[in-house]
Amino acid sequence: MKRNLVLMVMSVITVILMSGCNKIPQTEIDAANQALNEAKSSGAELYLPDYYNQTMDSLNAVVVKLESKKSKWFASYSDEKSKLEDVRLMATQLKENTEVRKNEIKNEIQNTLTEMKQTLEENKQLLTQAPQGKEGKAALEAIKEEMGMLEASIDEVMNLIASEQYLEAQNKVNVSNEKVLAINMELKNAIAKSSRKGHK
Amino acid sequence: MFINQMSAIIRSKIPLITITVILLLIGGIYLVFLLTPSPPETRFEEARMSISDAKKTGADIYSSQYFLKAENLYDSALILWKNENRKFILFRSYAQIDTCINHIIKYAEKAKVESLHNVRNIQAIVANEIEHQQRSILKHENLIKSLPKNKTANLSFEKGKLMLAEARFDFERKNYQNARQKLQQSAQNLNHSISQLKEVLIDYFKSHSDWTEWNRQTIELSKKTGKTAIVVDKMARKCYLYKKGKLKESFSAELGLNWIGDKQMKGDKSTPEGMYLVTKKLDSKKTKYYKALMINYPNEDDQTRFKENLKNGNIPKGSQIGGLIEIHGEGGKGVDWTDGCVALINSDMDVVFRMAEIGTPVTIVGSLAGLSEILKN
Repeated sequence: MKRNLVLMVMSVITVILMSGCNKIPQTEIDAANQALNEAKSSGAELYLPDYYNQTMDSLNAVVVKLESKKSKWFASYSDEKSKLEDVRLMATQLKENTEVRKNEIKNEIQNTLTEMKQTLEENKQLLTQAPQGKEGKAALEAIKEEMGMLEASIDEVMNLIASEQYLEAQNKVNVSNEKVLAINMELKNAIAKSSRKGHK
Repeated sequence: MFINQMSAIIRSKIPLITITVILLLIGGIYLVFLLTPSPPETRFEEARMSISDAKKTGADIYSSQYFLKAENLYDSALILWKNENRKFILFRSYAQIDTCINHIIKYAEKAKVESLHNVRNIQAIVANEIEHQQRSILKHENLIKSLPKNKTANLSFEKGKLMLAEARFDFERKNYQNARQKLQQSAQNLNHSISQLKEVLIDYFKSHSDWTEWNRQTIELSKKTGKTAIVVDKMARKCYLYKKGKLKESFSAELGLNWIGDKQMKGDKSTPEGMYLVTKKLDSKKTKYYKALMINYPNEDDQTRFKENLKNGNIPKGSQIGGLIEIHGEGGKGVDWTDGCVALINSDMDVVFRMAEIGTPVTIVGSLAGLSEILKN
């Protein structure tokens, strides 16, 4: 009877001690943190801010839960382990999605750049066909100046791409392309107008 | 004997002792649980949510001070919690953490309110600035485009327009800070070209009192003689036809390529300013510009000024004063294109040609409207 009592007390103490000694999932915490840092480095905060904030929030919630478990007598971290793994996966996916988004923007920029360069070349050709009479001379000079400015903006866009500022590059290339297209339209109209006059 | 009796008593009390020990143990465990402080998990959740809510409003950008305070306090609170967790469970206290969390929630709330307010403000400021610059472009574009020999003003104006378009893109993406930076650059470029324009115009309008006087004299002469008089307003690109001092017709006109400023010499493509007379009427057989009224440029004033300019070195040696300035047809090109003449569309030229005769006064002025009026409109 006495032995039974001692065994019972020992068992309770062992359970308490065993429960208290359950280890924090530090490896999982580090892995989740690292994955999130990598996503941040790839520009997730800029290109997919909502997704980034959501992942960050999830990690913070798990950290709170972990500390809370540490504050209790019987701590088991199996739930948090699995949540940390979820966060790690989310962060890894976030990094991949960020790269995809960046590539999408980069492709859009490249396509617009190609279109812009082609239109610029076409504009140069149109300039030679535009009415060269004295009434058009000043306007053509102004257009040449503007085209020079737009050609310089291509270099600016390339520099922005090189420094991975894709949103900024996209903004600049879109605006410049609109202007190049406007000049194209202006030149085509002038040529059409002069050829109509020629037929009269 | 005595020992045997005691053993028997103890043996008979064992169940009672066992129950007492178990009860004490259970009571002890219960007491330990009762004395264990409950962790501040819910409070941390509150803090985390309030920071997250603040961030959703852009507080990390638009109320960075309060937001950073909240974030730093959150980190500190977490460290405090970790430190407490290192102590023996019964010796832990979360009072300091609780105070810390109260501050976090307070700062996060402040950040949220301030951010919402600042976003509304900056949004309104950027929208107003975009509209203001757009209006400025509309107001000055034609004048700047028509300024001859001023490539830098035009280029600066175009750069300003491009930057404004970029700012608008940023505004649409709700990136107000970027939009604001670009608006500063666009304003710089636009203001640079507008101030160049104003400089040119202020200098040009120094003769405005002469122009209004010439206009008055010309109309007065038409009234006195009852005959036709022609007034050309270069800035307005208008040709006015008076009879007996009353305005009869008003036509659109095109000018010399370098229309601004008085004509100085041959080949400068400027339209002269002054009081002239029709010296010849050329019908379509005698001019390639449909019909033409030749005027007596250079008059005496022009010749005196030309000689002075030559003497002072304002124009190159060997320059000639030029001539053959006319009001002629073949206008309607929509730009200034002549070598210094005034061009009208052929149907308008028919009217002018019919009403004018040799000796009809032709007064050409820079502008009848004052500079402030020009800039206002």
